[in-house]
Amino acid sequence: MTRPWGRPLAALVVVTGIAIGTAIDRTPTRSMQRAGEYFVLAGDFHVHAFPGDGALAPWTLRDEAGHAGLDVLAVTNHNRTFTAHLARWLAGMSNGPIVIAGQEITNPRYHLIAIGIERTVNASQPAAGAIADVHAQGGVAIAAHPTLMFRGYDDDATVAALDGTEAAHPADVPEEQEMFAAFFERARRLKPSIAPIGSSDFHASPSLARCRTLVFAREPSASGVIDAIRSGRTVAVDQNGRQYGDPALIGLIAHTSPAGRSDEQAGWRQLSVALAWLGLLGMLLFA
Amino acid sequence: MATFTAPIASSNRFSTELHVALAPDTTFPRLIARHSYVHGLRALRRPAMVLLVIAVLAPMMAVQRVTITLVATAALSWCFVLAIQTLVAVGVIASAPARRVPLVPALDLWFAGHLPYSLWMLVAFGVMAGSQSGPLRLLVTAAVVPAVWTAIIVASFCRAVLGTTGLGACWRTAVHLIAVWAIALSYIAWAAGGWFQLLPPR
Repeated sequence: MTRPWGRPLAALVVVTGIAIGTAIDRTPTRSMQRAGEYFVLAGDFHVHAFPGDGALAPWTLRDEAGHAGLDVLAVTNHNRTFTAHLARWLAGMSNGPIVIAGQEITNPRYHLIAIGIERTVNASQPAAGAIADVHAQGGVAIAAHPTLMFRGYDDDATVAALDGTEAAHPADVPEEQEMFAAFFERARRLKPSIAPIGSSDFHASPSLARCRTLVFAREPSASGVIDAIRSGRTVAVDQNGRQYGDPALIGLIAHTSPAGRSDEQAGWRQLSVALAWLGLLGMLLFA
Repeated sequence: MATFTAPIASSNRFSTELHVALAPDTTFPRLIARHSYVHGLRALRRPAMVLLVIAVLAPMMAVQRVTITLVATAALSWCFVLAIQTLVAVGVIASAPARRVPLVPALDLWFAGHLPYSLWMLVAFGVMAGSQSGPLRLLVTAAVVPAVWTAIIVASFCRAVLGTTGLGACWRTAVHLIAVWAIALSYIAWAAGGWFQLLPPR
């Protein structure tokens, strides 16, 4: 009787895939970009992590932020801040992107990103109350994917109290992105200094920083980022590279295109993923 | 009883999990004798396989990369899924007084039925990794296939391994299905900020 060789061979293929992926894995080094008096930081302020409804644990997320070309990210789980605080604490132990603790305040009538907060904000109150609580903690409040289904933003006074709005967010259909842009225009009429924000709303897919925010900060720190958002010194970049924000700020970076995701070993990376996937399939099917 | 004691389909190149998935009613009885001797660490091989599938696919879907660090951290993060599955399985197995094998071999046989969900994860995560805007709703809806497939396997497991009647197998399968989906939906509701998040928008 011959010993079955299908599963051992498939396991070898999985190991080879993981080995290739590990060998080519290099977190790119980023140099801080300047534009005039500002540091230009690439940020993603709407990111979910595990434990929660994100697939990646905080320590993995921060490494991935480096791959995605981010200088700063905010961990914003739904109605909880434990994971965000864990992520911020871990970030303090090594060099890498700035991590800001946040929350996606999740109410049937609105979703609101709060960043720079210490305590969980009560999500069962109207949007105006939640925004006031965020401000009381020294944080900034950003309307999350503001489509027409969120009636919590019908009131102009509530919109005028916001610090920012997601002008760019991954959209399943073009109409959605048009709604985000239209809400930004409405918010800007009500509050000219409102910050346009680009966020990925990363859970497990699509990619982290698919939409991103360029922050014009006076100092490369969490407080510098929050101050810049509060002052409206941001440019949102959508998944197609379109920019939203103050033309003067867009002009500042016209000739210094900020770095995006780096994927220098795309071929090897794809081979590694394909081998691991095929190997798993083999391990499941063969003895 | 040579049929019962010989290793299943020793000349067959296909996995036990595939045999269980395709023909549980004939495969479980043939496996019982062999698996009655599976104890201790050997009984961890099938749960370890499930964990490997999750640990490789989670980073593959999320960041389109697989490294040893990503796999190890994903395994650490998501091992609670296996712990929940094991607890539910122990509940189902322990509730059967006439079971034909001890608890640990029965757990080993239980995890031999993981193929439907593992294949679904493989397909779903593969599609997500290859697509910038993954058809999440379609993939979640497609989870009904492994759910029904697994229910058929669990019912067969109850009859063959636990020695229950057809009715006993039915209610144990229903309890298993309800428990797994109740736990999964509770976790999703907790993580997503409330049950209203699982309802269609009004």
